[in-house]
Amino acid sequence: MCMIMQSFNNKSIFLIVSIIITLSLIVHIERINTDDPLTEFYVLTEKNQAGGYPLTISVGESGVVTVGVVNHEFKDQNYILAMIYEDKINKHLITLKSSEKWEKKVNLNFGIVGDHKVEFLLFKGKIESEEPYRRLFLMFDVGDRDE
Amino acid sequence: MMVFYTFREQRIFGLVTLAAVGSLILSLRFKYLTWGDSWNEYAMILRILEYESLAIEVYPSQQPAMHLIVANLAMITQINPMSLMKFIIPIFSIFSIIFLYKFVNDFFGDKDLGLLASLLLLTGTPYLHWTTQAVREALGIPMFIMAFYFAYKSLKSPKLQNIIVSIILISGLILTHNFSSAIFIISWLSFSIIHVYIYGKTRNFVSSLAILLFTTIIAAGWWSLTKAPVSYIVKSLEIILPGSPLIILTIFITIIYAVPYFFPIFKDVFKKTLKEFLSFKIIKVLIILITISLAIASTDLVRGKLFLILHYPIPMLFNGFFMIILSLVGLYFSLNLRGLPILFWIAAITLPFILSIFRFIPFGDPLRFMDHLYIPLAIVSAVGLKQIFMNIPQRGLQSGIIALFATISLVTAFPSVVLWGSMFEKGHMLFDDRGYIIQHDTSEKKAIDWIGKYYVFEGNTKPHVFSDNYVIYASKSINLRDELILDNRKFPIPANFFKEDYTLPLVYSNKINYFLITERMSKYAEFAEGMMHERSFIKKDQIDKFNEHSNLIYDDGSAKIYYIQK
Repeated sequence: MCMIMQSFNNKSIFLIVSIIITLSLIVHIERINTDDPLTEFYVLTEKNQAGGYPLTISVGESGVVTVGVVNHEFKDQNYILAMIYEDKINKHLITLKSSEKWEKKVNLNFGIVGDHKVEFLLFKGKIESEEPYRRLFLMFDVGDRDE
Repeated sequence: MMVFYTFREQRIFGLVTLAAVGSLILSLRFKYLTWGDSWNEYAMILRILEYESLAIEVYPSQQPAMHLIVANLAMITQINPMSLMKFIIPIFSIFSIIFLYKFVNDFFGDKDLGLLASLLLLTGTPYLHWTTQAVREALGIPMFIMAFYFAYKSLKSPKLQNIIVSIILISGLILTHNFSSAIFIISWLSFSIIHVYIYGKTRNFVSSLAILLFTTIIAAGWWSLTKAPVSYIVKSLEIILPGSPLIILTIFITIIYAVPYFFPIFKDVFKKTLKEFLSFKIIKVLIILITISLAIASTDLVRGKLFLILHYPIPMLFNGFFMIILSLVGLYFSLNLRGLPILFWIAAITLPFILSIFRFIPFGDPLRFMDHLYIPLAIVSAVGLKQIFMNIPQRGLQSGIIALFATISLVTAFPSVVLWGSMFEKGHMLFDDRGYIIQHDTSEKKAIDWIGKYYVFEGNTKPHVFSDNYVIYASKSINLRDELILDNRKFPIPANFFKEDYTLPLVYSNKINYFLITERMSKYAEFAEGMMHERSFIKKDQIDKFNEHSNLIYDDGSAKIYYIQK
């Protein structure tokens, strides 16, 4: 054993240690280059733009927005999307593979004049009674048809 | 320790290994670029790739060396520029350590001193702060030291090849970092003048003056051409010296350099007087007392007791405190003709540093002088450390002391989140609020990219993106076409957004306004006022107002984008 040790000079030991450190660093870099798991939840206009939302509309008029979900959780994921406005709740079950994107155009019609908050709630998994995983909202100013 | 003890015969190899590992600490630790400045550099690289031009309209930085290196490598290798700059730029700092070692070895003829100086610089907090980031300083500092080394070689032995190499490196420095080239001019001026007066021969006078004039003229020309902020130095000179300040200064400096050559008697008298002057103990004590006073002023600045509001934890000052002690010991043993050029170099950087601390000269962040000040300071501190080691004959103990000092310096140089993995609670001695902003998480990056992908620009008014300094820095990469207004001023109150009492008139006409708020901002947010004001955070009632008066259009967990349209 001693002879083996003696056959290594300082340079060889340094070289071996350097190779081990380099390999560990490569593994480490690979690990840190992985994103943190998350889900993106967003709302766009009908033309898929983040601007010029139909926030001022009249009663009976359709306001179209696009709701989007992107799964960056690194696993297949079930979501429940709930849209709440004017005491109505619309639900959608969404299943996305890792990195998959889901977008849907939604028609919003209001029957009552006034300020309306439209909420988009995203639940993860099957239980929707718990706190939403993600939450968005748009504030609509709904006017009279004749205005 | 390995370098100092086991590998004394392979010093450079050991230093390179240590410098390489040290420089990559942040790149290996975090996924994205760190702090704020490196994001600015990233945006500049992307602009070069986008426009394939260096015109000032599309490339405002106008310090292209680093940006061109990364942009060209990205084009050739097709590797993401962020990954390239993260790992390649900090690695350049290895050259600082190698060439400081060579410089000290040449200047003092002492390899151990060179090794100590390099190790002290390598573990210096300001040095580590800058060279571990993918910023111009990480390239500027090694260029500075290499240029200084070859300039010194030309001074000692004015062979044409030395002068050519130093001129190439100085040109590279000017193209890399304006501030480093300004510091080079004052450092070289002070170092070489005193060197010429003490050791002067005709060739010393000619080569050192040639290097100084070349650097000054090329740098001043470049700054004026590129409208660099540092060109205010030239403008200030025009006020002090009306007419042609550069010509007047050139004549004046040439006369100062030429005096020892044309009047050797003057040089001899100067040298003799200086030697006698420094032989008085009272003079040494007086200089040391002045240095202590300046050190206290600097420490007060770093601790936020002067005009900057800083929150560095006490342990972070460990390295600075011991460097002050070592440099005071070193100063005592350097107050002689041999050490004087190095002390003049320190004085040349300390003077504007102190003047900017007390705001006699306009300079937003005086701490920026520290990274360059640490270079000669490491040399004088190494002199002090060597003197202390003379009383510790055991080499193993010497190595142990260095290893302990280096380890503590390295650990305390960064917020605990870097090496410890998490932050300490507020009120804990090791709490360091820089831990909130050293890293940018996936959530923030995704939100920024989302705005970059979906924002609406119709050509009339630009959409406004409001956030704090660090998110705005990171957002520069989505604004290559200048179609967004990136605003890091304080968040407005959404309810008052379009009302007349609103204090930011710029947004009145804006149709589209995004407010990017991250979870981190509920603990720490920094707006444009920077280091002049107490750090703030987004309070719950501010978020409540956004929830009440705006729209929430994006949510990825810890980053949210609120939206207001007119």
